[in-house]
Amino acid sequence: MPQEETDITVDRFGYKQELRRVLPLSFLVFYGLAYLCPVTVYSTFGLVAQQTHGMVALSYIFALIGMVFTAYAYMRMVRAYPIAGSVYSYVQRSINPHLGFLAGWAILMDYMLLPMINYMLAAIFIKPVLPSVPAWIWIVGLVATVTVVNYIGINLTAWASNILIIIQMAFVAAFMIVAVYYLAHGHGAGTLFDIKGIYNAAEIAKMGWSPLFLGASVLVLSFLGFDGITTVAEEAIDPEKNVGKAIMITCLGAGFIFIVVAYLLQLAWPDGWLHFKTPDSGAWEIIVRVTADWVGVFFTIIYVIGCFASAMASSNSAARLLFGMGRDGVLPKPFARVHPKLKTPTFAIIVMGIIGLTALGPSLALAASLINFGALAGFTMVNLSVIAHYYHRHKNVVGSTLTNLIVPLIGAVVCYIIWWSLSPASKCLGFTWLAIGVIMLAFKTSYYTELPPEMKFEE
Amino acid sequence: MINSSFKVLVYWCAFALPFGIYTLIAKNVDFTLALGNAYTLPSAIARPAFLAIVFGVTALLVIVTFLAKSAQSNKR
Repeated sequence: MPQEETDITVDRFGYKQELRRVLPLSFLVFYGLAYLCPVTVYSTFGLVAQQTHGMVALSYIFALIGMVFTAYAYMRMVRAYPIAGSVYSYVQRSINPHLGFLAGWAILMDYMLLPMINYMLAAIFIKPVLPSVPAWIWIVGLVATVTVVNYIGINLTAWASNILIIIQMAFVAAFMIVAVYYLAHGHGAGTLFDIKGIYNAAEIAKMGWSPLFLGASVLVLSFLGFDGITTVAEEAIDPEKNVGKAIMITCLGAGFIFIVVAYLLQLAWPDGWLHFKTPDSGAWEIIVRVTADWVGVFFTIIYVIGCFASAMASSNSAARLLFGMGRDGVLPKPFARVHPKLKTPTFAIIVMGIIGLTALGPSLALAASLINFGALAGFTMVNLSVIAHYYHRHKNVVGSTLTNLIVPLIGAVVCYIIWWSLSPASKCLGFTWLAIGVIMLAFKTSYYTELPPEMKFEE
Repeated sequence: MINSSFKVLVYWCAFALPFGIYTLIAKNVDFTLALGNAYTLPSAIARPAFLAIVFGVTALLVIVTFLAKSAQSNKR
């Protein structure tokens, strides 16, 4: 178990170090992977394979390029502000306190709803395995378990994340070995190296490049979660270095896994995208084809484990964001309450548990729409924060025009374009949520004539 | 604080206004919202409600920015 450090504090930002600082780099990477859920590659494969005519790996490459810019922006901002509020803190301190609230408000939707969607997915996946148990029992059980683990402490959350990620990675590795064996014995494409697993010139000549970018806009959502590492910055050892590194390792590592798995799935059944019974189960159909029927049930269990790990990490991160906003007085003060012994934001964790129970109500499509809107709006603002902080305010003292202006500008534009491609329903619901934030902030700050509470304290 | 209300206005306009204008022009876009497993808000209600939100908030922010600017000028 890593030793607790007390030498690094958040005093210089006007806060007290209240949370327990115990997470080393490796734990942060596992936390990010748990949040991101590596087995998600199997759930989107079929749909994107049909969109891109079997070029999922190439779409993943485009998505990864887009996301690396944002991961880099997070890395830069966490060095400047290694505190728990994530996007909310970065925008508040580098651009404007009111905009900080709105950026935090937008991404709050992502953080608060992601656990809910994981509970829903876990219940949906487990239902065919144990049809006699009603879905609500699974949801209540998962919510209770996640809440208790997060309540007890970040150490338990981190260890649980590590174990669950190891199980998922073992499954991914086993699939890779079986797929390589399958291909090496002349099945599927009959070879391990075939450019058509990534790039198919004949199909591109027929359909053009735009389906590949559309596919990338869907796949980019598989990367959502690496940003969650920033929310545990106050629990990380040496956060200025380790949190940024963990974000980049998680983003690149997950991207590598996604590309390799998509490549192998494609080679295992080269024209499978033409024959999937349903697009959602495309990867499952390939796995059963490569292995055996019983592996399909095992795959379902692994997917439920992935949903549980992601729910645990995302619920924990959302509680830290609520804690950050509560500490600044933007949300009611109970959100800033920290357990004296466990050193966890207990009130925020319980609130997240209650929000998780709402997984019994809304539709999956509604929750997914709101998550995507919030994440991409937040990502755009993080990129702009880098420009405001390093280029505008500090005049390139650290870094150059390339790293402080051009790279984050590309990141912001990429996120904005992907955000624009979201469905009308997503934007409709997302803007309704944002409008509530604008009006709430107007009342809280006497129509923007006063600064939010925390900034008053500093000044 | 004109700076703040103006920045919020710019933020809102950059994100919400282009889509609001697009919604106004492209009348065939489907806005049907699946709010729950059993309840759906039809496009005929969701679309005008969304337009009212986008343009209502824009108007509110323009007024607030204008009033803040006037108050600042009077002070000088």
